[in-house]
Amino acid sequence: MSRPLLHVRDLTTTFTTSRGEVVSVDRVSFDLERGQTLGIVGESGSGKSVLGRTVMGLTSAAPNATVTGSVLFDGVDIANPDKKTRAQYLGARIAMIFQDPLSSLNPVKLIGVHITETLRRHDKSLSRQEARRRAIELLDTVRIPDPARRFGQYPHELSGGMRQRVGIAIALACRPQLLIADEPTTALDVTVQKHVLDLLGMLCEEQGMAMLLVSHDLGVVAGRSDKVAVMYAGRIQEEAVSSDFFRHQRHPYSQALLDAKPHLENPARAELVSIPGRPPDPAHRFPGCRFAPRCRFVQGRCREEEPSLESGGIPSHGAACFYPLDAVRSTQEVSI
Amino acid sequence: MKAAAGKVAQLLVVMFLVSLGTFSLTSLMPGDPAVAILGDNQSPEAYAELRDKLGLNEPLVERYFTWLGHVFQGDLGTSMVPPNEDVTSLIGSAFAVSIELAVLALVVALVVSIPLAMISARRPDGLLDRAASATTFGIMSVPSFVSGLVLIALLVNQLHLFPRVGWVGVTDGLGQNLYHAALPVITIALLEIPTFTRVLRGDLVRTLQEDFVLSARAKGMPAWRIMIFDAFRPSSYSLITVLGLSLAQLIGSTVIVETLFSLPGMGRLVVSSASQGNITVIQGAVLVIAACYVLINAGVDLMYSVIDPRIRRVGA
Amino acid sequence: MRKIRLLPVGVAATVAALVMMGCSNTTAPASVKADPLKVENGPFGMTAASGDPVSGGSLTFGYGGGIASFDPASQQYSGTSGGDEARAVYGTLTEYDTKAGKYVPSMADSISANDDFTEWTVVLRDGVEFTDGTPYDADAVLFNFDRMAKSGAGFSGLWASVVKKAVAKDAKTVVITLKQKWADFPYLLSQAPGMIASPKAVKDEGESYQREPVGAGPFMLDKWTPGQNLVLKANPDYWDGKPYLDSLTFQTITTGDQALKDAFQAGGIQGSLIGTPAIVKDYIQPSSGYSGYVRMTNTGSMLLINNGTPSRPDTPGKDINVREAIASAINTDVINQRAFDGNAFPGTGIFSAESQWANDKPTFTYDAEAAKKHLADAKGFDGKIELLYPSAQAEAALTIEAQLEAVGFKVDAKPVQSITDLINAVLIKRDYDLAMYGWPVPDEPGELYTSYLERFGRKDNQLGYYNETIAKALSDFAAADDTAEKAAQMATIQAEWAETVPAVPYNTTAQMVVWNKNVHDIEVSSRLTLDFSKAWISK
Ligand SMILES: Nc1ncnc2c1ncn2[C@@H]1O[C@H](COP(=O)(O)OP(=O)(O)OP(=O)(O)O)[C@@H](O)[C@H]1O
Ligand code: SF4
Ligand SMILES: [Mg+2]
Repeated sequence: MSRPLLHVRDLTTTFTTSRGEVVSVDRVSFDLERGQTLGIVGESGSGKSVLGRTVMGLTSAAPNATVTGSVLFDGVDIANPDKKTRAQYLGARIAMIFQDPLSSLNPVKLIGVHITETLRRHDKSLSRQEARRRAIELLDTVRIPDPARRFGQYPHELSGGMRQRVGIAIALACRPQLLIADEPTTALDVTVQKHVLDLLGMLCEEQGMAMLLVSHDLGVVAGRSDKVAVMYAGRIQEEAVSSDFFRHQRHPYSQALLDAKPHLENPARAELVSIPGRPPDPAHRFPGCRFAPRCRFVQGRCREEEPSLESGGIPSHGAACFYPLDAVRSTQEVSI
Repeated sequence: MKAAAGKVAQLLVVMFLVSLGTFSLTSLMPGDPAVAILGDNQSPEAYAELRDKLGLNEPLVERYFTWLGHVFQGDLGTSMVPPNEDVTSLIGSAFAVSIELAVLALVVALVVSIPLAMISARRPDGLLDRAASATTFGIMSVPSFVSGLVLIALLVNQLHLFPRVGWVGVTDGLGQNLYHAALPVITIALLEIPTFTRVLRGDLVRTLQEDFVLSARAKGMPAWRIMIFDAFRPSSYSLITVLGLSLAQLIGSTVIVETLFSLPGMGRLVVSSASQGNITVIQGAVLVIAACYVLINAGVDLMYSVIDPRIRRVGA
Repeated sequence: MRKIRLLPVGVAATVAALVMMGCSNTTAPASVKADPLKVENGPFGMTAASGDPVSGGSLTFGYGGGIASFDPASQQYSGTSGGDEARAVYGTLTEYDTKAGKYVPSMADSISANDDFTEWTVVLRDGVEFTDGTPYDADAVLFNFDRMAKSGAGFSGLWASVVKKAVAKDAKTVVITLKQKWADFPYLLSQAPGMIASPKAVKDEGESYQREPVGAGPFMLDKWTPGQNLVLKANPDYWDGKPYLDSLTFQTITTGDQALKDAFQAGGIQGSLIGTPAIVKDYIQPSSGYSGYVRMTNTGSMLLINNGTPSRPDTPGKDINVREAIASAINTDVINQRAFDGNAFPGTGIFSAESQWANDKPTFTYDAEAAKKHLADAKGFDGKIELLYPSAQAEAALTIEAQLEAVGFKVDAKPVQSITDLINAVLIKRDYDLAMYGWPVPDEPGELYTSYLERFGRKDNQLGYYNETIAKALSDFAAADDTAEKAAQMATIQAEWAETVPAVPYNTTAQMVVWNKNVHDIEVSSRLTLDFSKAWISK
């Protein structure tokens, strides 16, 4: 394989706030190959959404954000895109699906218009009728019954699951190469979640799309991703091919996260009930391992030196831990 | 259909109450039609005789119901003071002036406020936002007669751009009409711009934090497009509310601006009629103004549902 | 006073006052104080027109008020309220020649009296017609006299008290018999009673006649939007030739004199009538480049004292000592400085210093000690006195209040919100102690006589004051044809006035009509009304 579709290096997003500098994404690096899915998992506030948005080049537009590092999309750096690049890539080659399908749809805009405006934005030659036809087709693709009627309805007239299918249809409109799905099912009913996720997986496969699947829930990612990255306090703590990762987790945090997994029935944000304490305040950085205050295995070195993914010692299964769990535990089977 | 009938009933009730209220306050009005008609050069007997002739000595209740009876026959009567014009036509022409002034002023105010609010909301607390905020605050604290006078000093006395006073109806030529309306319209608009800008800016800033704005950005939409096609409409409820209130208010009470520019609008009609105790004219004007309030209110409700499909469903 | 139609007193006056404040830097330079205003009665700045009159053009005059009704039967027009408009439409049977100081025929061919001025003969011109084609004849004149006498408004009261009967001697001669000797009777015919409306139009139109007048004057109605503007067009068949002006517009400007001035300078109007001293001063400077006419009026600002009216028989002013105390307490120079920035024309005589009737009889002088003494002499008076004043004149009222309190009065100053209220209290109910009021009366004998007759020449007046000597002097003034004789009567009145203190004048007012230099031959007549029949605009 030649160069990866997405090549992220040392990506850092810093917000200047009244409380000081908040480094929400900290020196994150990863590669994503064409057609593959990378699952990004972490607790609430770990920086997943900011990462997703930064990859899309959306954070750099915020007046209080600074983005450093690089995001090479098909060889082009889109970390700090100019207007032209943004217009070329966003919505066309990279698309996004949001966590809350209701709030991410404009309440005063017809369902159909959400889709046609994307289509026409990226294909100026497209006629109104043609755009409409394509939009209805897309609605059909995401398994929305009676798509012609839905086209003329407003977001509030649809159920949550239908709305998220609309979100997917919008994202797929221009057949992007990369889809960033930020908690695409968190706001949905449990029964609906699986349908939507399966649909998403299927469409990715059909269209050969790469996907960044962001979730606080390892269960969502399990079985739907080729690689998994675990985030904590803005940093990737563990990264591995899915099969390896789910066979055994090397970072103490990953394991704690997995223990919290059965909370699928409880769509509220995952709390690491198995570990006392809370994630560190991103405005107050301290030396050493970020997980140290909550880690059961913490040792002196952990408080002085910051581990990197290489610290774990196995290049193919990175773990930012000086004392990975390789010997400690056996694996657990994971399924949803 | 039912809702419409309800509105009409509401309209009638409001008009009845307002007219009754105004009539009962007649005695508090500064004016006296007898003095307005005779001036200050007649004998006391002449005034007494005239008051009798005008029916001013009859009981108030009786006068009210006589008046109401005529109103039900579609007759608002004639002005009590020479040249005793038809109240309907008096109010008609004054209303035409007021509504034109109000609508033009609001349009001008919107044309300025909307872009200004959008520029401000683009980067809250940014340089432009702070400049706009300081400017609008400054304008806000200037009463209309002062801003009117400043405009007069500048645009009339210095630059001779506009006429100092007077009104030319649309029927006498649109060009002349607008030429005469321009300065008062700007003066009124100045009064409204700060409120409009602030209200809309606040709502835009809030809307711009919504997920759907982010999702529009993720579609590759440019900022200006998002501002206009995504953020503006959902941010316009408060603006519409304020707009409705302003319109209703402007129709009845631009007295200061009307006086400043000698414009024959509703405000001046009401005030000068009050100074003459010209009750038939006041009553007619009050009815029209009250009706405007109710109708504009209904119009605002209608606008909400036009803007927001969610309300439409509830209303239907 | 007809200005009340447009409420100059309430909002408008407030705004006007604010306007003047706001723009004072442009209109009242600081030098005004150091350079007291010297204003003279009569024309100013008029330059002889070079060349012959040219036809064409339209002239716009801006006024604070405007005509209320075109029915002359029920109106008392003046230059400030409808006089110019009505005169343009009707003309007047006679007019006042300001240069000669005489009443002369105008629409009438001649007017003459018998020896003792009790019978007047008016002869009409041949062939004059109203603009509806009906004849302007004796019948028409009598028809109008009759309507006016019965109107219960306008000049009807005065007419009834002066005129015994009017008859037609022939188709163009009307003979009017008076109840008294009156050498200036033609004054009445230079006013609304001398404005003759087409009887046919009056009968045909009924109620709406007042809005659609038909006269025989130099202009005729084109379009009228009451309270806004009035457009008149030349009457092609005017007996003295079609006017040079094609049209004449009267624009209502409600914001006060500053706005009139602004409009004038911005070119919206070419003429105006102004009364604010500081602005008058600006215009009459030789360098101003404007023409016009100034009329000083007497007793323009009065502190009226109730001398005892039926509705307030026990008012403090019943006692001459109280009235003397008031007269001695008032310092008009201080009022002028405080309330008018030194731009007014202070004086305590009935006649202004500029008046042709000014005389050497005593006036009131400020003397606080004397005032205190008079007050002490007022037996049984506790010093409490009420002062009514128009709220727009708060500054002057405050000054007067302070001056009265300084000598021992306890003043209860009450603002009245509108002129209407003031008229009601003073003129109709006659229920007041002291009131700040205006009696602007010019020198012109006809108007002077009728104005003072109403106010203090007859019993049952607003002052509750009657003095045989004054009443007789006033009617002798009317009866006399000789100016010296008239002046002697006025001196008698002033002397008696100073003696008995019916009220205290404290300021005179000036009124000014002003127009652009390129406008010529506007004639000024009684009550500052203008005659535009020969007016023209040079290119
Ligand atoms: N615009 C911003 N300005 C300042 N801080 C921000 C901004 N956006 C995000 N953050 C901070 O960045 C951190 C990461 O937030 P992010 O939304 O990426 O978390 P997340 O992992 O997506 O959590 P969740 O599961 O709640 O969505 C948080 O501490 C948040 O407060
Ligand atoms: S580095 Fe130390 S503190 Fe951090 S996770 Fe590993 S063991 Fe725990
Ligand atoms: Mg998130």
